[in-house]
Amino acid sequence: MTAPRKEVRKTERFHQIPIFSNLAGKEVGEILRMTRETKYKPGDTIFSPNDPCDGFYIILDGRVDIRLTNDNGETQTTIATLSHRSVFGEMSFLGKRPRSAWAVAVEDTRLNRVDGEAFQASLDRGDVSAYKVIHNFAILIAGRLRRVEDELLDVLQTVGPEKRKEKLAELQEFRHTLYRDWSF
Amino acid sequence: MLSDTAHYFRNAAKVMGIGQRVQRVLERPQRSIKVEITVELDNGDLGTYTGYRVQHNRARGPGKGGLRYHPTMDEDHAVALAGLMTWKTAIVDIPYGGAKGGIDCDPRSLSSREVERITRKFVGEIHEVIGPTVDIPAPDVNTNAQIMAWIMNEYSRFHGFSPAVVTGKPVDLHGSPGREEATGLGVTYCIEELLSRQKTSVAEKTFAVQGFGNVGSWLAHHLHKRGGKVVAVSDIGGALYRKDGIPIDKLRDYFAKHRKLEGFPEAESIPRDDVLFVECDVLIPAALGGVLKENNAKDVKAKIVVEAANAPVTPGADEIFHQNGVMVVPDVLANAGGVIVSYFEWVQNIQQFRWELEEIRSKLQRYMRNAFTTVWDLAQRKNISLRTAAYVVAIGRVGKATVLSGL
Repeated sequence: MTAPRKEVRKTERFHQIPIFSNLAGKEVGEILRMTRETKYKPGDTIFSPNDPCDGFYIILDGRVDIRLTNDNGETQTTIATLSHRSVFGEMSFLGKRPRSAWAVAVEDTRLNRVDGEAFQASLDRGDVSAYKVIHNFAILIAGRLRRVEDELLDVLQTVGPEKRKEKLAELQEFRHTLYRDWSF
Repeated sequence: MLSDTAHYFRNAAKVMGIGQRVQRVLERPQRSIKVEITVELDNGDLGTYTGYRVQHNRARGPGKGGLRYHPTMDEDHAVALAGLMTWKTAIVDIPYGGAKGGIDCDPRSLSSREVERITRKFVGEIHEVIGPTVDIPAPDVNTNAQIMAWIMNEYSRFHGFSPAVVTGKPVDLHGSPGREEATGLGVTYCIEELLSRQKTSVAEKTFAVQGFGNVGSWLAHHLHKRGGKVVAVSDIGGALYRKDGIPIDKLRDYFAKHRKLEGFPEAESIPRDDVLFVECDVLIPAALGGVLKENNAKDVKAKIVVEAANAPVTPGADEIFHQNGVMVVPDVLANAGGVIVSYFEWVQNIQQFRWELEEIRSKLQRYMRNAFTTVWDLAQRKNISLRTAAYVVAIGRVGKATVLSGL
């Protein structure tokens, strides 16, 4: 009796996770059978760029930074801090590529990793639950793409002229330097 | 040598407080082209070479700079040397920008006819981006008046009679009198200007000249003519020393006959590199780059070093000279006589009117004097080295032309 009840509680909680929306309780259970729960301490690296993809992660508790490194690999920039119910690691899973970013726990964190091979096998079998998850991913990624497009538009519209202004200001300053301080 | 120019440029830019973007605008070349040259060699083989022409900055006028034929020639060399020409033409205030180019061939392993074919093929490839109002080449390492004559002839086949497309031509084919002695004479004028500010003159000083090629031999000749004591000279095979001054006219006759200094009876023979460290007032390296380095700069006894060659003093040695109170007259100022007379040749070609040697010499003196005065006064006023002052003048002139022209 205890075991099913525990599973019911679990599915109820998982229903609130966006990638599980529109999944029946039974279907959520099918996905959960492919997961394993893991715990991380603050500062622990969950994965690094170029690591092979082992699936995707659901945050149960805690917070995770997603960081990119610049071209020469020296500095890391945090592009997102994710918390409860967020999913990450799906880009490399869907794109069938190694990891492109760092995922680092910033506090005590509990994750559910959905095993990539098991999930792929489920897709290959044509399981509806797996396809519903993929459908949810598509919705998530469409939203993210829209935000990126908006940001890109901002960059093109506002940052461009500002940079140009900055450049022109420097040229003006150069002119002053030549005629005011360094005439000969 | 390549990084030296960039080092001094950035030094001056820092002193002036110039922003990164403007520095980048001034440092980067405006145009760089690379062409493939394929010719038939005398033995029937196919010779393939790469030719380069870089126009570094044309804010002040058409590009000006040499063509170098050397196996190590490449785009990086051309860019660095073109930059040096931008600063040099600005410092002496002639209406040019900077350019440089060349071919990665070794003329010593080629016949004269092969060099001619390579040169004509090269002009065929670049004639659209050079010209009297665009970019005017000149002789450099391993190129000479004959090669310039071929360039003029080949260019004129495309564009009509155009002697002003190239300078350093033979005097018999629209060249200028005084072009050969120009660099050496310019260095002499520069030294005269410097010494006059120290209330002394060439006749009261002793000199050591490293190198007895075109620049070194003319320089020694003009110093000697003004009563200066040239106590030491050297060439690739050795050096000569005479405490009361070497009779330079006799030495030039000897050198013309024997093609070497060794064995000249009226001076004592010393180890070749000792020429840099003999007792004298003024040391003039007139041969290769990089001869005065961190490890030997402290052994120099002269109180004045004049860079007749390009970059004979490394930045490390420059710092040591500065600390030891040795004054260094920088290459971009000291050896600009060559490009000044190149300018006179171009002007004569455009005017289609030949000047007398005396007129050329007096104009050369005026240009060297004006340039030296500007650099010297700025160095005094701002308490900076002559080299930094020269680069500040260069950046100032190129910069003003750039901002006045608009973007």
